[in-house]
Amino acid sequence: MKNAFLYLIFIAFTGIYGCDKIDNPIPPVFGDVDWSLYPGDSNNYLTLYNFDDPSSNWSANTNTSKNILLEDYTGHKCTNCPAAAVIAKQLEDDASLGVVLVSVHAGAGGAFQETDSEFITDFTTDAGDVYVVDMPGMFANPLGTINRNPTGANNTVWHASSSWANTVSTETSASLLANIQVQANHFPSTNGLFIHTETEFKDNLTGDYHLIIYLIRESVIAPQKMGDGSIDHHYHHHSILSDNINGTWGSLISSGSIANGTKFYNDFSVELTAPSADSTYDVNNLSLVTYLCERNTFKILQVVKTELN
Amino acid sequence: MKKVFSLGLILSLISTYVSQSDSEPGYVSGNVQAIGQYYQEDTLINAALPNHLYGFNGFTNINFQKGDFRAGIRYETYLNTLEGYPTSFSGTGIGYRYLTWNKDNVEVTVGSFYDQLSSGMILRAYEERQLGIDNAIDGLRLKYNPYKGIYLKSFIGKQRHVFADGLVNGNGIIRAIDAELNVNELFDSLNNSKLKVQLGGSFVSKFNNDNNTPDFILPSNVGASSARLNMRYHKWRFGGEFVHKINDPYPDNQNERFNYLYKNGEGLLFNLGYSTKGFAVDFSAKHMDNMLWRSTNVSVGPTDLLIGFLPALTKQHTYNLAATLYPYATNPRGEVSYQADLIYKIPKKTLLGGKYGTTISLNFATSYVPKRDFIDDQLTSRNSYTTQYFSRSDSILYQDINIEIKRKINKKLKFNINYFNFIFEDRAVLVAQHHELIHAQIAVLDLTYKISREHSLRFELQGLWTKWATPDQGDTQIISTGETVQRKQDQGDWAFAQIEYTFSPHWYVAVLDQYNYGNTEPKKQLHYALASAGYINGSHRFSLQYGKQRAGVFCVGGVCRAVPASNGLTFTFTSSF
Repeated sequence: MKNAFLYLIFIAFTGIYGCDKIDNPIPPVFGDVDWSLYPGDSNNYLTLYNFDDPSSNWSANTNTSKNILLEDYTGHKCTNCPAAAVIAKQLEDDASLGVVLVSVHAGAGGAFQETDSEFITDFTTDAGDVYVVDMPGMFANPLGTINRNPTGANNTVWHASSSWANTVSTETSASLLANIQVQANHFPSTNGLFIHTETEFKDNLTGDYHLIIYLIRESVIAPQKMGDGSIDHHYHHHSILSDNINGTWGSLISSGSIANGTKFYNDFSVELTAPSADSTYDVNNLSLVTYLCERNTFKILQVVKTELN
Repeated sequence: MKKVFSLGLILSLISTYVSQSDSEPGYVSGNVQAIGQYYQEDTLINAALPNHLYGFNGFTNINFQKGDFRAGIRYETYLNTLEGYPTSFSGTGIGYRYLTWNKDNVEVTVGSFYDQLSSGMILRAYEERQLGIDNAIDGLRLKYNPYKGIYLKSFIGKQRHVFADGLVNGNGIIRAIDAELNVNELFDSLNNSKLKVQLGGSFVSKFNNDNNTPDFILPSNVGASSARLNMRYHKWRFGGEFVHKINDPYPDNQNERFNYLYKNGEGLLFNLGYSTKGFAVDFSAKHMDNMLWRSTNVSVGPTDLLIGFLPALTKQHTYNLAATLYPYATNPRGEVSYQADLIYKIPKKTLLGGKYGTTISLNFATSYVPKRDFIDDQLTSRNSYTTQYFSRSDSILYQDINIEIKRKINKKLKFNINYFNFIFEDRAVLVAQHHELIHAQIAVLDLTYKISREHSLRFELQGLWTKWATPDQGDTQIISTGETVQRKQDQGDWAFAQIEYTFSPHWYVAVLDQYNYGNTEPKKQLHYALASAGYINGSHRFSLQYGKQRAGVFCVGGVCRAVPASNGLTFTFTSSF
């Protein structure tokens, strides 16, 4: 009897144990973001953005205009580029056109983008270098794309600056196929930037649709070769593509057929370059350019610009 | 320091116990095994050639018993580990130590112990030294027999994982309880009944949280339970066991359907047999799905930290070609298997039986992938599929039909003839040289001639033939001469011959050759010749072996180890006291 008692004690010691039955193995998605970039308790972020019900974070998008992404492929050693930049800036400044301007420092061969002891700033990006290869027909600087419409030289997406105004004018009458809304929250203590997007298709479409987000520096003063061959050491480079937040070709949000009215919600996070390391990355000098692109034709359905300050 | 302490503790406890039980004599027993292999370069067969050139595996067991008290250690040495043996065995030191005492129907074991609950599906802690398996539990075990016919067992511990100059346990904790009821012992009125009945049940749980993947919520505690029934009536016997395991996800990099699979595991095992003098028949059936489980939830070696054992329903072959080229290896994800055995001895002094009688053994074993109805729940419950008991798909894993005829012709001559017919799906287990569905036939003639009372000769001839590859397998091959030729499956045909001369009681010598004469690639039509000799003196046995060993697979009970090709000198020494 004594032994039985001892044994029961032993069974109680080793034998009382349970099992963890897991009905839902997938952890709840609390935003596809890097929470280390959020200072403090990540639950507090829910007051800024509700991940469980993303639609609740957005008001109805009543926009009816199709904006135009003008990518000015330029280089700081390209003597014809400043003149093209003037054209681009004029188009951007005309609010009626809805032009979003991005200066992409990339070109065929890359000679105009090279750095040296005088042109010390490397404005090139990995994405820009890929675009000039992946989108056929790039042959020189300056060239531009206008919503990447294939109506440029030899039916490519590449347009000479002399035709930008006409092509933009034509594009203003194009149908609106998608709308985009963007929210961004910046946390200076971590240099963390949290981005939320709502993408709404406005027609029944078929294709591979990618959402791409550019980080733009509004202004950087650096040397530029001018049309007369001189060098302007205090040239204001404008709206410069500085990074791709979600990769060269962004995030695939829809493949195949997509119905009119379908909405997608996406979340991103990125650690920005510290302003202490490069003052041009001060948040007051930064913007996001977010656009929806059909990957096979490169055509851009919609683009929006969001200032971070 | 730790090893010295553990050894000192054992010796101190032994001496304490001995001094308290001086009336009973104490016994010391033990055994030793040492295998050393010197490796030579042989690029022709792609022989293993480690930098250290010499491999050595050895162990010594020393046990002490005095009355109901037992204690022991095993000293192990892997300097350096033999090629093909798990590299997780390395160094030299104590790998096993235990104390056991038994008093008033209670048995306590402290330290290392092996154990098995029923067939082992729910738990089997065992050692298979030839395979490099040792998943001994290190902890505390209690057995108790509170009443006649009632056997209780409970234990808790960690499992041996690797050997690195000593025992290194895994992090997982195993907790187990088992109860067995022998009905005939329990009731006096049934003591002499022809119907014998035993019932049993087990519950085993593990705790482990090594895996910190952010992708899934993993269970830290995983439990499995089993129930079993064994019966015997006259010449009939029946055994049945059911095992159930709850969600126990593991990484599986080879198939997303099984990667972090949360489906419950289940196993059913039945055996029905009948035996009488000169005749026996046995039928077994097994349904097993997702029952592999370990005391860890991170990726480890295939035989590391296994809690459960997946029993094989096949005959364990011993003839070289049958045992090492296409041996059955349990499919850890699951299988539906059947086996039938029939043994009949044709009576002696009959026309067919001859003067001494003839024994015929027939064996049929087959194994299939369970029929799985896959469901799309990878983003929700991750059960991945459903199965029905004993519902099999058309994907065969293994089939073995073999017959053995043993006959003694006269006082000097006896023979053993075997025929094997294998179907072997290597894409499931990846142990052959070519991963395809292989059909192979093997014939064996084993002849022993007794020259005199102390001298005998044994001849062994074996042949293995694979089928021609089918078009869907790629039936042609470009060989080294540049020609395109028809291809035989896997390595093609083999021949094996051995002659062994024994002069009792001390010596034997043998030579053998394996010849891959049917390899489609002429450069690989190689001979693997081997000579061996041994000396036996009482409990001591010493042997030497020199020659080539081909790459192959060594399996015991469906668990396999790849053996690399080698060329060199091997010595083996075993002894016991």
